[in-house]
Amino acid sequence: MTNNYPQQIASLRWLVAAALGLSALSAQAMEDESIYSYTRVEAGTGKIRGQAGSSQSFNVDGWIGGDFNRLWYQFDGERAGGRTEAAELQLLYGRYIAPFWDAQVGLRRDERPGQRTYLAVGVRGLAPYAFDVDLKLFVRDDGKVSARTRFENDFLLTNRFIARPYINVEWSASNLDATVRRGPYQTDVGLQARYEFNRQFAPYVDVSRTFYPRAQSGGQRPATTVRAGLRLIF
Amino acid sequence: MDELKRRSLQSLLSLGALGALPPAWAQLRAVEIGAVPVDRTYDLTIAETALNITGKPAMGITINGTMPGPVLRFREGDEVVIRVTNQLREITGVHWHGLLVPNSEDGVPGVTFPGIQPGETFTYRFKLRQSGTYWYHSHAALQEAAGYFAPIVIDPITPDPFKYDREYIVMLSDWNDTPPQQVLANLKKVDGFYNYRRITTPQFLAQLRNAPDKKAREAIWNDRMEWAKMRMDPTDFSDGGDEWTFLMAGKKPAENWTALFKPGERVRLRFINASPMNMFDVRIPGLPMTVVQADGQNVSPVEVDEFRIGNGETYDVIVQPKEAKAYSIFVPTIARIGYALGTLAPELGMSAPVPAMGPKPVRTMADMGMAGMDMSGAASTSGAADASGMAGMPGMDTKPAANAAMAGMAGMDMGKPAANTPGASMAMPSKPADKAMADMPGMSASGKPAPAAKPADSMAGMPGMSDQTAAAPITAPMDEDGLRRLKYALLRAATRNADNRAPERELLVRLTGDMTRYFWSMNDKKLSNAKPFKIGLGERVRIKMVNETMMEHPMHLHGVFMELVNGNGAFGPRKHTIIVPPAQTVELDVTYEDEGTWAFHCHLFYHAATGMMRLVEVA
Repeated sequence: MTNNYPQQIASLRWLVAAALGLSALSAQAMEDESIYSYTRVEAGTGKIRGQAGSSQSFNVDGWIGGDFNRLWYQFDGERAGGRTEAAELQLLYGRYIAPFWDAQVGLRRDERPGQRTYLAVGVRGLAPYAFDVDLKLFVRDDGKVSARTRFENDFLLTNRFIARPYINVEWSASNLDATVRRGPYQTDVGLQARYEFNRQFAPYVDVSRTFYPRAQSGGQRPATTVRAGLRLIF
Repeated sequence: MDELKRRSLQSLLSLGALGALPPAWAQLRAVEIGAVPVDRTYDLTIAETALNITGKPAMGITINGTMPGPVLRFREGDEVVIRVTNQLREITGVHWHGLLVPNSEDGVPGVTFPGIQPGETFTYRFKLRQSGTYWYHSHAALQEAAGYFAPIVIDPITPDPFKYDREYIVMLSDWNDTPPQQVLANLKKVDGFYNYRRITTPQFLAQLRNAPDKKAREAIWNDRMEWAKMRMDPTDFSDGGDEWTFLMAGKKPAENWTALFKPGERVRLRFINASPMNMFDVRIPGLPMTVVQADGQNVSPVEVDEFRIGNGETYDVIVQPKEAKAYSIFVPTIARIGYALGTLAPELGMSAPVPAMGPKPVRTMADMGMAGMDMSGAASTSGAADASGMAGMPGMDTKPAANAAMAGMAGMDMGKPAANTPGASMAMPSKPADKAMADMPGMSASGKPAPAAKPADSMAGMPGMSDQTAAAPITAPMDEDGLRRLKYALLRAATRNADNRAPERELLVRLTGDMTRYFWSMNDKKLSNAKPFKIGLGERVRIKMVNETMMEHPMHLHGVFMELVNGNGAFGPRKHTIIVPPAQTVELDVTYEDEGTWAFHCHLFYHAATGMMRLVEVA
């Protein structure tokens, strides 16, 4: 499967190369400008405590491009009790600005809970002490400003059994809607434990707790989510 | 044709039908070079070939159907013709690694010639201006890593200044069933895609727990934090991992490739590292090896128990097994992720114990030149090599022993001798060096390493000393673990280098890259966005390579021999490929005699392919 992969996406590479103004030369002279790609898919299913029915998550994170210019894509979806609760897509242009770091700019589109479009600007990379960092500022189509900060780190229990604690905070610069005030309004703290049969195939278990620190009355209450799933890289 | 010959031919043909035909010189019984005819004309066909190395069928690229390809045996001074037919679906080019040829014959597609188009035949013609052990391989994309390489042996006009009764080629390589382009794509996806030998959190905690005292514990903690802060991995000695198989003459360890000898004979082994991404440490337990050639060029003999061979390098050694027993040719990778293995034996079917590879190496901050070590000390290497001024020193004692001790000194490994950088040739002023000097006969304990290397130089330049160094081998100094390892500082050209002028200028080449993104560069620029270096024809240039990464880079310069600045003055060894250890500086002098645009690159092919390559315009 993996061996055919370069051919399968060859045409896509040309497209991306053209879009990014790169030469998609194969092999020969300037092979250091070849187009590469990375896609991570995590699909899990489980339960949010206190809620009836099951809960699924589907996340895609990846890029296609050269070393300096890349098209990044991210999709985050959640379902609970048979309903799609959240569906968010980001398409970003990323530019290598320093070792370990990319600057990103692009669009975010939410289909759920509401249909919204955002301008997204951020930086993403690896901070000292090997923290994966994703910092983003969003300007919504109605002008409201929010931000997202995400930190993750891998701890090797063995070389294949890896614990990944993470913290994701959503920030609001203004009242995004009736339930959200200025400041951090949603925090997810979690731990994903995966077993890498190889780099490309790893089942995982993920436990997280979601807080709504500034929620007004009528807002959501803290909840714990437990899911098991599969992480694929291709 | 007698019955036996017909049968062996049939079995060879059936082998050919199954997969690749093993080349005559690399069957399980090694073929002596003496049995390979010398020729001036060769026809080579490059084609995709089904191979089965690991037990699973995989595609490789072969020369005349075999991996490695056929040995080319030439005679020095001959005008040779090599016709290469490309049966691949992409451009190719054969590069004669280490041979001094006109630029148009150097075989780098898009640089020295347009390349050989699919279906075409290209004829290389050049006159051989040298003798020794070399090799040839593809210089297009990552074709070499698919099995596209083979040895070259050039017999000298004047016999080599050492004797031997038989000779064999020991070609080292590695193999992965995954095609090289996919290996690279994987390395681009995930940092350390193949590295499943990292230090785990429980291992780290155990280290802390087992530390003898608070100070040791702090040191372990600080080292770990320093690596984490730098976002680097101390176990990253190789980009490869368990999926690799290591081959000797194209054979797996289990196949027990065997080179025969009669007890008491002197056997010349011509080691070539054709591996695309692994360096090796070569040992023959129980047999000291006398290094007589490095990169095809004769050197003053050095007796060692182990030598490190970088990608693209060659070393010729003489061994003299006196007993009628088997000896293992044991060749672990420097990351200790596996080993290539063969046997030296008086008859077929014998084998010797295989030693343990030892623990997987882990770099320390000291190896990386951190933790308070003064990196400016690296500059003293150049001071040590300054041959001027000291020449003609009166009263110098030229006993070989003293010579050896001094040469060994310049190569003292300051950090952890056993583990990490045996190839290092830095003379850093630090405590261990002073101590070693105190032990040296006739040396004052207050001496400093840099000046101490000067007498060795001056001997080279002393009037009345023969250019041909005495054949009595010097002995490499013993490391803490009892092994005598070859160090670059011990390599001394057998004859004085032709150009003894002081360098007219210095060319700084920093070896750089981004490990996590997996691209590599020189002076922070990849080939595709860098201007060529410029060197004048006949200009004497000192190239100073500073490795700012944390991996060894075997740097290969086309079109000229690099004279390593290692304290041996006008006898600096002539090399086509030089390992630059992490965080260290290596200097070399060149004088180009052939014009044209030449390639200069890291011989870890995945590093070259991702940018660690530069063009050198010589005019």
